[in-house]
Amino acid sequence: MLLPVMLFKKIYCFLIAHSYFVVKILRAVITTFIILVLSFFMVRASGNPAEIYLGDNATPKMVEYFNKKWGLDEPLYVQFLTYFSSVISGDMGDSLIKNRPVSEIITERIPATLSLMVPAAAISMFLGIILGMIAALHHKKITDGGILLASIIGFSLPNFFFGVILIYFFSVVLGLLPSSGNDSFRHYIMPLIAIITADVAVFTRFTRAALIDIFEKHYITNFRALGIKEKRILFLQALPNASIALLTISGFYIGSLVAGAIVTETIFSWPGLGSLLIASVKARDMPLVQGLILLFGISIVAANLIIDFLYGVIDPRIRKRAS
Amino acid sequence: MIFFKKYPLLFLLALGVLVLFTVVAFLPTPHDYNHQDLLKRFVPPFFKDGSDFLYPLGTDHLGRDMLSRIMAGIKISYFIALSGTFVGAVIGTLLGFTAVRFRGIVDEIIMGMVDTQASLPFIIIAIALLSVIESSFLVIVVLLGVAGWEKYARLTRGLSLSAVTHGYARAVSSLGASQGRILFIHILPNISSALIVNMTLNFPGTMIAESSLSFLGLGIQPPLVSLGRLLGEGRVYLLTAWWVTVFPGIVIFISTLAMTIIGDWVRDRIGTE
Repeated sequence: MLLPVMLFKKIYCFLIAHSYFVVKILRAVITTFIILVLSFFMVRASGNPAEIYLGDNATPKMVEYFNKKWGLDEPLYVQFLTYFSSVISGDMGDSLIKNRPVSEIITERIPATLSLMVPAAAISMFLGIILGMIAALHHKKITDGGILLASIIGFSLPNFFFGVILIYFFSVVLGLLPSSGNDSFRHYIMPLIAIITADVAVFTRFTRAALIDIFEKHYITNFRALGIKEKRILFLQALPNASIALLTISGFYIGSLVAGAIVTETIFSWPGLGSLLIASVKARDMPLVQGLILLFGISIVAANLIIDFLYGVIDPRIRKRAS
Repeated sequence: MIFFKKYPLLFLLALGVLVLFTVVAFLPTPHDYNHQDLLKRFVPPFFKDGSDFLYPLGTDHLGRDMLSRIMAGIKISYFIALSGTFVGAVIGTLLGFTAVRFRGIVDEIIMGMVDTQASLPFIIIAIALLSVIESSFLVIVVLLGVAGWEKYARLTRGLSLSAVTHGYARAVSSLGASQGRILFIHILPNISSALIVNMTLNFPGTMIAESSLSFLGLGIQPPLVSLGRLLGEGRVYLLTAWWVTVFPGIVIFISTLAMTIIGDWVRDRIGTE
């Protein structure tokens, strides 16, 4: 009799003690659910599936058969539950145009996108933090001004325009680099440059701002008064404290990375998920659009959850404040 | 010299460029921006051989005057960026106030919406909606407004909460003012500078978002033109006629650059006060 009560108490205490993480997981689950509901209704709102699939010449009997076959004559909540369980088991239906399972088409395209995005994100982060550090160390000097101006320019240069300019010079005028596809290492150069230019600017600006803010704190002045070298202060004191701000930016960055992927892949005809999304929206291939939106949405939610966890690990104060 | 210290040269330059673009855009266009003349396809701009002085920036694949198209594009792009920013600010501020006024479960729901919105990039939401709804001028404005509301909601909520719990708002409240009156008459003017800073900082992003969508062919639809759509359309003819793509691109770039510089200046000026 006592055992279940104790067990319940133990679980309850565990949840309270880790309430920061529990709340974050709950939020992520709710967001995922919202994305699922939206993607379900997105396809329903795009028109009657039978009409789209069968065309105008369909007889009422054909429509009836179609609706029965795909479960469209069931009540809406039953349809949603069916959809929910099939998504969980990885089945996202068939593409209307390619006549193949959506999950198969998407899986084929994942490597191309990841092989572009992962290096782009890593290089942007690394360069941005380095440049931000240099700028903060030379605050209010010409180096700082130069880096700041360059980052403003990089930030304002829309990547679709920059990509087109790159193609014009390197493919059209000089004939050095291929303008589309991902067959060799040379194909990666221009898309990488296009993404990195914009993203380095964001990281530089935030690293600089965070470090300048920290350099004005009293504890840094204290270290300076103790005669500790500026570089030592930067790496051992300022940078760890700036990591919170950098983590916040990384959260926003994942979203802009996805947005950048969509635009950049379209410009360079990159055979990845972003260009697939645009192509399927234009072709009104709703199951494919639905699958891609789900994939993008859920991976962003997952990435943000990881970042929230890192927050709690890096800065225990945040954990306390939330609970 | 004191003048330049107060208003740096870069800021004045940026403001000047934006004013110039706006004024030029509102001048009467030399041609109808949709008028096609198939005998005048791909006329190069004025500094190249074979140019026509009637078409100083050249023509596109249907013989339409690029200068007129860019002028029309500036008008629409600027207007969308302005109204999109404004719609976002209004929705966000109202929801932020609602959260403060009712607290409790309403607050939780609104902040949950803020978190959801902040974690999903605008372009995903926009593409999801535009695959269902037909794109139009109004849809784009509302979409861009909805894209930015969560920043204003978070800002308004945070600032209002600290004003409500201590300070002048309590004084007014003890004089018997209603919650709504306190929020709109007393708190709104006090937090407006922070909201305006956020608006100027968001402005270039809104412009880039609109041009990205139009570039992808999901934004402004013909016969209307926006700078992003001009660029997206011209991209196909990069080999034969670079000017069709490059001129609208330069206008977008200079505009967003100028807006960013102004936004930074406004933040530094108002933010420190």
